[in-house]
Amino acid sequence: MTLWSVTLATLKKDIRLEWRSKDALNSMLFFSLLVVVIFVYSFDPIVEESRKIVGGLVWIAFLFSSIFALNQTWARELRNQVLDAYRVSPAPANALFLAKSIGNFLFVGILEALMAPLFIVFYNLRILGPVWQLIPLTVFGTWALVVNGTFFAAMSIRTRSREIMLPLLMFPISIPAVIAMVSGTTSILTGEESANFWLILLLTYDVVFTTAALALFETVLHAE
Amino acid sequence: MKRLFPILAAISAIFLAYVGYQCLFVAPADAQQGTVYRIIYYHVPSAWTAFLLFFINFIASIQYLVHDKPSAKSATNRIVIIIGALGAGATFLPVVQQQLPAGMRPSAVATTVLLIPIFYFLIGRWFRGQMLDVLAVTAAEVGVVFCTIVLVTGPIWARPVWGIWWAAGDIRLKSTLVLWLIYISYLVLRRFSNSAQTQTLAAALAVFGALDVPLVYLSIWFFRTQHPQPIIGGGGSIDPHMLNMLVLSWMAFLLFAFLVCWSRFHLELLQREVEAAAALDSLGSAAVPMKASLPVTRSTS
Amino acid sequence: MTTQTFLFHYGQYIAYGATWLIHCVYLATLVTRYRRQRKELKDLAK
Repeated sequence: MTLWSVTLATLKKDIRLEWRSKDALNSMLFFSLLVVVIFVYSFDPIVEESRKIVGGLVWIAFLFSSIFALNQTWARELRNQVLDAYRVSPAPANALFLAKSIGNFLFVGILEALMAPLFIVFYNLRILGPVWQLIPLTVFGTWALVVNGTFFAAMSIRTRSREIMLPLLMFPISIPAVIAMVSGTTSILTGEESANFWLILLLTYDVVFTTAALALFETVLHAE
Repeated sequence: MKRLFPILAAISAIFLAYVGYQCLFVAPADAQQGTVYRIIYYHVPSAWTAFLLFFINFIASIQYLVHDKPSAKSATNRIVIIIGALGAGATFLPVVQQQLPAGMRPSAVATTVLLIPIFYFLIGRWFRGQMLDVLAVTAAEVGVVFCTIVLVTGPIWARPVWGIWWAAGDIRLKSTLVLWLIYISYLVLRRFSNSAQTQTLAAALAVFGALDVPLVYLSIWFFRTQHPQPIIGGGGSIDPHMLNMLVLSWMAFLLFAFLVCWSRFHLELLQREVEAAAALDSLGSAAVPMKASLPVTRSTS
Repeated sequence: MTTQTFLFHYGQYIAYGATWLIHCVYLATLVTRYRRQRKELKDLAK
């Protein structure tokens, strides 16, 4: 029962369950469209200026959408007492965490893939910098949000008001990642500066917090 | 010990009054900033106190997380010693010395770095088991109070001096704000969570927060180099008289902070005693209030 | 008098007052909580 075999098994189960119900997916799709539309109506997209602020708008939209996805992370487990079963099983706790994180990553990734073209269309964006850099930026940035989000979602399940608890815990800690994502995106969109530092910072953030989460998840799961 | 408190409180009050009088009325006016610069005499010491308290919370949280796992504990001990030794040694390398801001002596930095393991082992020696958690919550709460003062007095100083309430790019301001937010979320977690797991969860959050702080600093620093703001003070050498006054003020605030922490610590102990008594009571056993024994002597913790 | 000049002259006193106001409010909450705990302890002893 290696770490990866358990992780993959859990992940496949989650994806299968999610695909069957499609409830969450459908409502999230519509939600992402609504968010983009609200931003478009609030921040008038005149081409030259918009490139400077779209970075921020996009990541704020992603951040808030991901909160909805993350809040659902452990809901299914709680309903069916899966967490207790997991605690007594010999499966490594980290496998559960990785499976949930990767699942969230895929889910939020799909949302982003849907919202990003909408932003490009509505704001008539022409990307002036190196476009390929957006891929590692999005990957690292999304992972940064998701890894902390999954961890804090696990922390919040034993608190009152657990839906609001997640963003309360997550936002302050995510600030450097958000700065990096927004600045990096703006750098790439405007082409004025290099986004390399932000990419490295995001990578560092990912490594630090993935390690911390893996080190502490077992403690959090078994906290009694 | 109990009789010591009123004596120290009286000393603290006198000390603070003296420092307050010196700072507000006696300290000479600054050439450019007039009298309003005097805010630094309580803004800066409050900041130093807040950071010290948050640091204590970080140490106490780590120790609490490993206190019942001997292997993790010895590993952490070793890591702390290595960090202290490497950090102190690194300050003697010319490469590192070039990075230090002007006026900061390498020996001062080395001493500060050495304080990390010193604090770690002292706190480990003086506080055991649950007491670590009590220390953690005490330091966090009092730290938030002092940090609030920093964030309130900062803009009051900034507005007349720089013309703006909030210097948008200022790295210290933004980092302090994030630190404050992290610890507010820490306190919220403690308030909203049930007792058995709260302590471990909060300790984990404190570790995450501490890991975050250097990243916050880095990200804001680089943002500023990309979008340079007009140079707005800070840095440069400081008048030695001002420095003396600053340190004196800090001493006064440290004593005061110590007394506040002491009170909060005892409040927390009392609260746990009450909870334990209430639990016993609800179990229906003969509810004798455990006034004689402190919670730490209970076998279940 | 503009905000600028007002704060230039009186800023230090306002900041001083704000500092001690915040400290006093916190200490007051400590006292209140302490009293409540003592009362609960006494009630449980009955």
